[in-house]
Amino acid sequence: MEICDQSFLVLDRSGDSLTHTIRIESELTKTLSSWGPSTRISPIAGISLFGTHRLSTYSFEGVSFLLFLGPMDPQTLLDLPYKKCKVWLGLGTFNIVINIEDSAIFQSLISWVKGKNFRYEYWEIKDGQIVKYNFSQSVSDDRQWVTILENISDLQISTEIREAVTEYCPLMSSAISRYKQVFHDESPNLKNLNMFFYEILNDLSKLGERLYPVLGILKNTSAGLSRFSSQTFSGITPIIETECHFWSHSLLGVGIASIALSNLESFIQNTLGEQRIPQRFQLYLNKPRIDLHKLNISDELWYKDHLSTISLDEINKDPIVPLLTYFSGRDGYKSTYTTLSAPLSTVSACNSYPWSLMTVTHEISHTIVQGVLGFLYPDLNSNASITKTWEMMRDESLSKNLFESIQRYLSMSILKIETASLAIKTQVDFDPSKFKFYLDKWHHEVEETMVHVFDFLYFYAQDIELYVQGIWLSWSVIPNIKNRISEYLTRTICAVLSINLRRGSDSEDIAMTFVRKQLEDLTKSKTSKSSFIQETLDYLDKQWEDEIKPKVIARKPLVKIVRTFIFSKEIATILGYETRISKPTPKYKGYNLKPKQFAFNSIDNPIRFIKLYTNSIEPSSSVSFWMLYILAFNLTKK
Amino acid sequence: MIYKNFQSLSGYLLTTRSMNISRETILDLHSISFANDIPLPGWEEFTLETSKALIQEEYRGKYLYPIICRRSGTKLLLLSYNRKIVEYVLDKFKINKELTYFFNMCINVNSLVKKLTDTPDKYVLSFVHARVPAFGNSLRAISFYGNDISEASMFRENMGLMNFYACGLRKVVGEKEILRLSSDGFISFRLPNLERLVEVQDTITFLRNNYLLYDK
Repeated sequence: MEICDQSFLVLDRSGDSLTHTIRIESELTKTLSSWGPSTRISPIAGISLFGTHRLSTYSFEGVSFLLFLGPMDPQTLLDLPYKKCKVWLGLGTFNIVINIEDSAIFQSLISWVKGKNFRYEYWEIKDGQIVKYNFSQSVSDDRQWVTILENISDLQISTEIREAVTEYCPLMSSAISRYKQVFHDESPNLKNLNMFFYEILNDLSKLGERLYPVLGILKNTSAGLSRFSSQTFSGITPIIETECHFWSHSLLGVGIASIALSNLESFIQNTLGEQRIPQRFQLYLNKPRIDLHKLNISDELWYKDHLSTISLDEINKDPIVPLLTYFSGRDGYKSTYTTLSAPLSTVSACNSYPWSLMTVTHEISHTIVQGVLGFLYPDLNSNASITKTWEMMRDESLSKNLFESIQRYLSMSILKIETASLAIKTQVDFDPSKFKFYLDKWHHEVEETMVHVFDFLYFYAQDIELYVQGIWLSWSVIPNIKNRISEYLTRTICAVLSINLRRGSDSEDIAMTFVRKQLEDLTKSKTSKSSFIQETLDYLDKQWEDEIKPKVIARKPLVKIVRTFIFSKEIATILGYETRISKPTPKYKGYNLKPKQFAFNSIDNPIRFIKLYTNSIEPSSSVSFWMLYILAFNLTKK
Repeated sequence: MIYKNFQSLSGYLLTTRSMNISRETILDLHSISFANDIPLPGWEEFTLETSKALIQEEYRGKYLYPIICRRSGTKLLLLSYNRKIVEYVLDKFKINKELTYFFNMCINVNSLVKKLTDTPDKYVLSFVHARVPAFGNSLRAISFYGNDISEASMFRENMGLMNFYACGLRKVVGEKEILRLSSDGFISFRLPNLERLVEVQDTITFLRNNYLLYDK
């Protein structure tokens, strides 16, 4: 069953009439000529098996029915009792659109739909006008979730928070009630998020200085909820009454894309997230100290899986705060404490490198590395902490355990980074009173370097070609990227350095050569981005020895910290879990899925799937459409 | 007798998910005709006729291939002496929406390997193939061959770094390898005599009874 090109389902209001009209246009341009205040559209894809594989204009002449079903795996269509009807697929939660001309067949289909307990809405259409509509009823609503929101709303809280809570409560109510209507079930993510805020807000007296950061988190969450709700639940019953502000999907919304993004986040949460890397890292406090500065790079200690020696049983496993996912034209890829956004463009272009969903992993890497640095980085608000770290740097014997040894090593790297930034060839004798300044100045760069190494080792599975091509093509769509070539080159080479550490004094040059080769291959592909890549290559050739190489060397301790103490082979095996493969096929490495073709083949690992099927420089809306469907419906459930 | 004609058979374990499979279900594909019953309960031989060569034979105009089936309720074991023949049959079913749609049964090879390592009392591992995600392109996959792989401590100590997706089984005592299977429901085995078909059937029953088969 193969999806074909997309046309547009167009809902309109006919003049001053109270009725709505419905039609299909083959191109977006044709929808614009008659666009009115009530016009809404959504792309729908034809299916080869169901007579809709050719783009066409369709005005629903005569009497017929339009049946909306979903969210439903398209493979279920093979069980349809009557297959000689027109069927399209959309990206809204009502993702199956069926046109039936015969009333008796329609009644038979509705009985089948009801018997299967599928959610539906149907329109009776006469010469393009919707004359009647009906829809499935919601299941009984236990409304226990209401109690928590009522409690939050009733809390005695300060004025600063009151406004944010007043916005949050109806937003969360709307999201939960609509979720239950669509999925007949409670959303564990929304439920956990709600509990998280209830527990924090219920004891405001303990917040102290954290009040304003919590206020920020609440506002970010509300913004995310608003978009999540609008995108996922537009196009729910009754369809005519909802509207999605992703305007090219304003009729049916992008619920399937939302499910796909949410499934991706859940997979990462359930695999990498549940390994509690920051909390396990903190337990290096119980391990004996090592003078990392003096340890030879060939020592096996650098290659041991230290993190796996700390069992999950040793840590306190509080529930992980789930990330609420949504699409955003303004935020693009962005993560906060409770939200994760992807660009709107990914909905129609996620098959292409510039808009690949893999970029989500960079944001999630930030979340985890921030957790580690939250423990590891000296507390900038504590003079005692800064002084202690400074003194440890001067005298290794003051480090009491492995955690402090790593902290010492990280701090030494910061001073090296400062030296490299000054382009001074000799070691500067730093003034301890300026140490806090350097810690603050380089905090962001330390985090970014570690994030790049983390992302490369865990999510890109140390694949240099995939990593360099993927991130550089995704950066090529960022405005003013040319101002950041130096820092991006440094971070890319640091990431690749993490698997070249054993090459001794040539390791930085070898890492650079690997990166250079991949960038060179990119310039050979005929795209408009190649001029930016060529400029990057020219910059690298010119500035490697004097500028970039010293920066990479200064950051090498950070690379080693991530590789040795944050990367774990056991965790990488869990994250890389995939058993739904057969004999390895060269292109898709064992997956039996072919682009644009639906199959009941499940996959365990959405990250692996995205890496293998994002293989184009040019976007394709139909391949992207198919990828979102696979992520929404074909993942095995843990 | 089929075992005199073929040295090995391979194919897929399939399901319709809801509809019982009859002989007529298979014959709905008009290029297949019934050949004969194999002298074992439930086993049948069919003949596939095509106008194109499926395994790069010389041009003959018409090509006949044997298809061996074992039906059981909604499940079907579909075999021939070459994988491409079986895949041709499945493609023919899939592109015609009026015919029954067959789905691959999935075999939880990862759990099977772990189970046979923990309790090797009925079957042991003669072959294992695994992905190794932790080392990137430095080390991507690994295979083990032997009479009783899980007995080797080197294998057990490194299991945590492997995702298994294909394995071979044999009975604990004596016996050569019975069959090899992979996660996508693909099964292959040598056919020295008809007794092997019984052993294959018993192995599939073992998988079913231990909840190692699923249909998605």
